[in-house]
Amino acid sequence: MDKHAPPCCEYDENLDLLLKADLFTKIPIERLRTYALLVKRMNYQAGEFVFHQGDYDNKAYLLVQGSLSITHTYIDKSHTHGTISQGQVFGTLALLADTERLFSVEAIEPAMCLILPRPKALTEPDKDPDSAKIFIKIITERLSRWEKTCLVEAATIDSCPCKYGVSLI
Amino acid sequence: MVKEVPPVTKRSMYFWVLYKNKPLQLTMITIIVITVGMRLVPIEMQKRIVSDAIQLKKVDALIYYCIIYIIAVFTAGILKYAINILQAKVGEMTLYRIRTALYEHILTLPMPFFRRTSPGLVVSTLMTELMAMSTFAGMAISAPLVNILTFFAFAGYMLYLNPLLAALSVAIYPIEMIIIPILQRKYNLLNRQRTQSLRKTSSIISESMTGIHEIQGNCAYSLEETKFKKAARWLYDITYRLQIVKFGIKFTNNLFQSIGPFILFLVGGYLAIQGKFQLGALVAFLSAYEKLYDPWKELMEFYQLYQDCVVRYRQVMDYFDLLAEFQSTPLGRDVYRFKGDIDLNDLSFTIGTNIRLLDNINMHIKPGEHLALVGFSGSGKSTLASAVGQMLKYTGGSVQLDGYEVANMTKQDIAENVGIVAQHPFIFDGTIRNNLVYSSEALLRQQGETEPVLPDLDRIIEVAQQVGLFVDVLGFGLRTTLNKEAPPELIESLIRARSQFQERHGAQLHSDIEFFDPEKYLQYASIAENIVFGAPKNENISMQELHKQKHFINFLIHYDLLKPLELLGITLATRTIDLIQNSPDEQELLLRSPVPAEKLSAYGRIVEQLRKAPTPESGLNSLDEEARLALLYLSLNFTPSQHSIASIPDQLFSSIGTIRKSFHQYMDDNLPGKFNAYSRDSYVYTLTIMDNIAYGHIKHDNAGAEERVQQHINQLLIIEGVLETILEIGLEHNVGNMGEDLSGGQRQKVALARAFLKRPPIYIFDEATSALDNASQTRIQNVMERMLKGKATILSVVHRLDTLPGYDKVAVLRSGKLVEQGTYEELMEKKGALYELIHGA
Repeated sequence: MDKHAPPCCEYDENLDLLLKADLFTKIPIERLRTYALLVKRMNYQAGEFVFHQGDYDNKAYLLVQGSLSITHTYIDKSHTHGTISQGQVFGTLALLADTERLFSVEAIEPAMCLILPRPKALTEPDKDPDSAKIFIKIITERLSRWEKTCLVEAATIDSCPCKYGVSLI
Repeated sequence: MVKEVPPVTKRSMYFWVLYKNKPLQLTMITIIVITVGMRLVPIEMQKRIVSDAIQLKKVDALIYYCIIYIIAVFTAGILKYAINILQAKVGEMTLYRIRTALYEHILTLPMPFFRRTSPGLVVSTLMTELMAMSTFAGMAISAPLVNILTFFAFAGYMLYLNPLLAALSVAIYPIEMIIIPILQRKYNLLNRQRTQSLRKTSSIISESMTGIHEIQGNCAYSLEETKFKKAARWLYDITYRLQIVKFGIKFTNNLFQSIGPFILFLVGGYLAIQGKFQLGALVAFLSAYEKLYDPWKELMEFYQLYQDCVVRYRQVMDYFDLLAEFQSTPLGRDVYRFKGDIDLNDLSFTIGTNIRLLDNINMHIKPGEHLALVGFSGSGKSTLASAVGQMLKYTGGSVQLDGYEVANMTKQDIAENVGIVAQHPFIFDGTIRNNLVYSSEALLRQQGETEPVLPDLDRIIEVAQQVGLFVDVLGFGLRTTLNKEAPPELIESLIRARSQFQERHGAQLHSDIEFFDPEKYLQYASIAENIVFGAPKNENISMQELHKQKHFINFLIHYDLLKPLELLGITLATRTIDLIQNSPDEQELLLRSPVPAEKLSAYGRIVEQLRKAPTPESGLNSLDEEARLALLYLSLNFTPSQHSIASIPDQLFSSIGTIRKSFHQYMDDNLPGKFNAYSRDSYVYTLTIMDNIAYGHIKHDNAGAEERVQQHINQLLIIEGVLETILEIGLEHNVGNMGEDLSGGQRQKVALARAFLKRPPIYIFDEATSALDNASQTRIQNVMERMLKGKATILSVVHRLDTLPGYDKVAVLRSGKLVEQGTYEELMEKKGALYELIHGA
């Protein structure tokens, strides 16, 4: 019989990971505690996809271990648009509404993600309006921050892919 | 000549009373006549017992009359019982006939009726408001007949005993017959108002429940309360007045009834004192008078029931008194069989005052041609598809299929020739197979087949493969737990497949499966399964309910496991209750804890009690046996991979690790033959087929694990020749209420397969593949291009513009107007509306 120690409490570890993720810094602790139980862990072997371009998704992801690549395919041509590193939360737009994935995300080495389902505050905002407001604000701020970075890049790099500002949509 | 039956909503209540009930009603009348005769015998016997036997002191006459008395009472009782049974039969059968006829009618009502009517109101109208009809139909003939006959029989008997006294006794009834109908008319009026008020109040409740988001969002409590109070107050006023009139009728009845004995005692007593009336006759007279009241009372009750039913029945029938927009089946001709030509000429659909959702659309699709409809949201794509599929009645122009106008076709013509797949298809409660053959079965039944020959397994498999449902169905089959009645040859094949699986794939699937290893703690199994490392042999013992087994608990005590398990139960219960309290995610949280949803409040009470204690140990001691067993249930069903809320304490983990052999030894000594240890040679009936073949649990937290394992298992099922059997088991999987077990993609695949199985010449798809992943969409697209092009016409509302090159023609709609149509290449070259849509310029 296996004499190894039992695994640690996954819930406690999840809560610790969520507390460290910048996405959740403004979420009240009592909501984060329930969220730590709702998230699911998923292991990916190298070459396994977290999601494919064109999929409709309603979840966000937090990379706990390993490394992921981001690729976009247009008429049989694939382009890699960088990697996702540990501790990064990605795909958060899908928490607001079912969103078509514009990229494919693939494990380039064995990886583990926390899958963050759309919180009840966003599926039924009336049940938890305060959390809903916080979530929406967080995601909007992320979009805005992303564009700021993009604009800085556009000013310094000639080949920035940004055509229109997302905040102007 | 066959008499024409009126439409269901135009039939009278008495139509149903007689409809197919005449033989039963006649039998009842015959029994009633005999019963009434039987009821007079005991009264006559009462008179003879007093006057001829007791007064003349004749014992033999006393016995003789008593025997006749008891026989008559007994026979009348049995006959009354027979009448009641017949009344129940007639009543329930009539209710069944009304409901089925009305339901059939409701299904054909125009779509706007269902948009403005809540399902709950239809349910209550059809189920609750018609219930009184059952009682009425059973009594409609028998009650007046039996009571009028009984009334006149007793009145006649009284007349025979003493005409003067009889005349005085019944003289009060005509007065009642004048007063009661006046009160009853008032009652009916109020009853009608009550039903309306009840509906209005119900509708307010239903509306507020449906729109609760809006109410809470706007903090509209006061506004909604005002609306509800007004309706409820109206209901109160009417119901109160109704009760006053109801009791008024009762009071009138009782008052007149009490006057009767007064006259009898006064006049009858005087006559008896004067020696002009026998004492026995007076006793019989009093008895007959009392019995005279029963039929009168029942007649009055029946009269009230009748009036109540008239109100309810008419309101129900008026509510559904609408004509179907389209005839169900063709009369005097065969059902059309089309080649698939679709022709739209100046098609328009206007709502409200003059809002044009479709504006003079002209389009022609040749048989076998595939046309994609595209446009921005609200451009009228789905409305156009609905008009062609006869889901709405267009207001202008024409839609012709093979030259026949859609508006003039029957529903059966459309069902025979058109397969419609909506974006959010409805999945019925039942098996996957039931849902797949739904359209085919519906069509065959509509054609008059009472035992329709449905698509066979080969055809279902073919279509399931075409739409990509095959693997899903096989997955459902593999996730099934077989019972011991499963064919032994299947079990043998699965055990062989297990051995092959280990040999061929065991090594490479270690990261996807936690194999059963007697030396290893199973993270993907419950603590109970880890202790037993096997399964109960006896079907009466459940792995989930081991905490109820006395010997199992004794075993835990013997090995000092009970208390640590109870303490783990405390951790699980406390953490779960702490998190769930005030959380909007209650249901989702419960899935991540072993606490069953239905026992949440019981665990809440346990945790409350535990919180009062300074330590978990002292808290445990303060609990009763039932609470402690509930905690044991939690820990025994705790599965680390599934319930992340806690972990197993080190000491408990190592203890469980050492006792598997001891468990089987203990059980063999105390409960022999009740448990089996896992063995590679025997099938485990508590596990799914997949876990049996894998000889372990699938690691669901490993992405794609189940798919990879299933892929390997599928090959082995083919080798063992049981693939079809497992697929059949999967087809029998119950998808739950409204298909809750199926994902959005699976629902669409079922709907597509449903249409393909019917093989119509025309298909209408309204974003029918929107929930499918890329691979599945491509598969469907290929099926459409490879197998249906040139063979079936397709009109498809398309959401994915990259699939457009596969269509023969593309039509672009904007604000209800057709702005351009042509081949994909033509339109792209033209750089018009389609180009704009694709490039978003």
